[in-house]
Amino acid sequence: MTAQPQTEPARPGGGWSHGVTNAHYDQDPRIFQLFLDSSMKYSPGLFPNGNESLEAAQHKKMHFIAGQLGVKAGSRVLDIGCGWGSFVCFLAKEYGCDVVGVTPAPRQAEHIRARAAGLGVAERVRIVVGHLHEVSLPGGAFDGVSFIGSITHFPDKPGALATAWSLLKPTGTTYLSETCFCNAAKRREFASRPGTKFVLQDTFGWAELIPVSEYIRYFEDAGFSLQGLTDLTAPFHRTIEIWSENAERNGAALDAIEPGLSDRLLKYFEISNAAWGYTSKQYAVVASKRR
Amino acid sequence: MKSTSFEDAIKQIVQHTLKLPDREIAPNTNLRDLPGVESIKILRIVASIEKAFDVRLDDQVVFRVNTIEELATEVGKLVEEHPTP
Repeated sequence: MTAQPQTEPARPGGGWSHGVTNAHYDQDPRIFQLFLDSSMKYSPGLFPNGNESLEAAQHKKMHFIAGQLGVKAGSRVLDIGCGWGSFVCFLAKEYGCDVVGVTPAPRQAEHIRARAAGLGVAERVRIVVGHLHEVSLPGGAFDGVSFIGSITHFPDKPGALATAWSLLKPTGTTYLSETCFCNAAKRREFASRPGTKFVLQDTFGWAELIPVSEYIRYFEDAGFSLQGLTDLTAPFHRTIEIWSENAERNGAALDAIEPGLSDRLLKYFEISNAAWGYTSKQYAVVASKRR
Repeated sequence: MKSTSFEDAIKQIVQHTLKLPDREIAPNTNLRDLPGVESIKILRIVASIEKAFDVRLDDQVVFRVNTIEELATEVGKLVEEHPTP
């Protein structure tokens, strides 16, 4: 080691951004159990009837994603940024898929392995700890690749989609869902506002919102054929309403884990839900490697 | 509906969103000067108004508006343009 002073990069790509992004998800899983549903899915559910419980909404959403990917028993699926493994375990248990999950957070990996064992699907679930660009995965091997609210944390988004393309079989499909700016003008005006910074930097460490048109271009540039786009803004609004209710109800327990935590979570939820449709949108994009 | 009725309805939405039910807010009060108000709260007020009156306010209004008076004028214009059938 040299004693040279380290300069922090202004833009991610260096180590620090990954470190802090990691830190949000590597917090005590009990924190997330206090506001998420029992499957610990940290992304929008689906409420086709409008009165679903969060559990039911997340279950419907995972069936939706499985349908978008077109998976069946024996399909090999890669979930990039797999969180606490709700989708990984769901695919293994409900569809009989062989699933690989990638997470940079060691605590999430431990949690998922224990959960897969508890569900009796340990042999169908493999968790790889690390960042996508660092881990070793078999090329051309997967029927489906998913990025469920994870690509926002990737400094190199075009590179991540190019990697997904190379890991897919020639008939494989990618599902990507993400929070986006409404358009390029909103991004220019709001990217550096305090509310945006509070959510993207103070809460998550590092995340970057871009308009969905950018993702479409990255998909095209990586060689994909676009198959569909779904607006998930309204279901995410409803999902965050329920997370807020849970965080409010469990405020004392959250603050016991970390003082002031419930207020910070509620602020993050309030900002997110105020912004939907005005500055931000939630979209899911599906693209295939088929010609 | 007269402009003052819009103002009254909007004032109720503002008081409810900001949790200031007992405070009298004049139509020309700058909303951004009220206690606890930041841009996020204004967005929540706008969202409630759009829902209540079934209108879509222009971005120039959404992100630049300062008073209840201004909001009432804009809502009034939109409701007149698209009267309930």
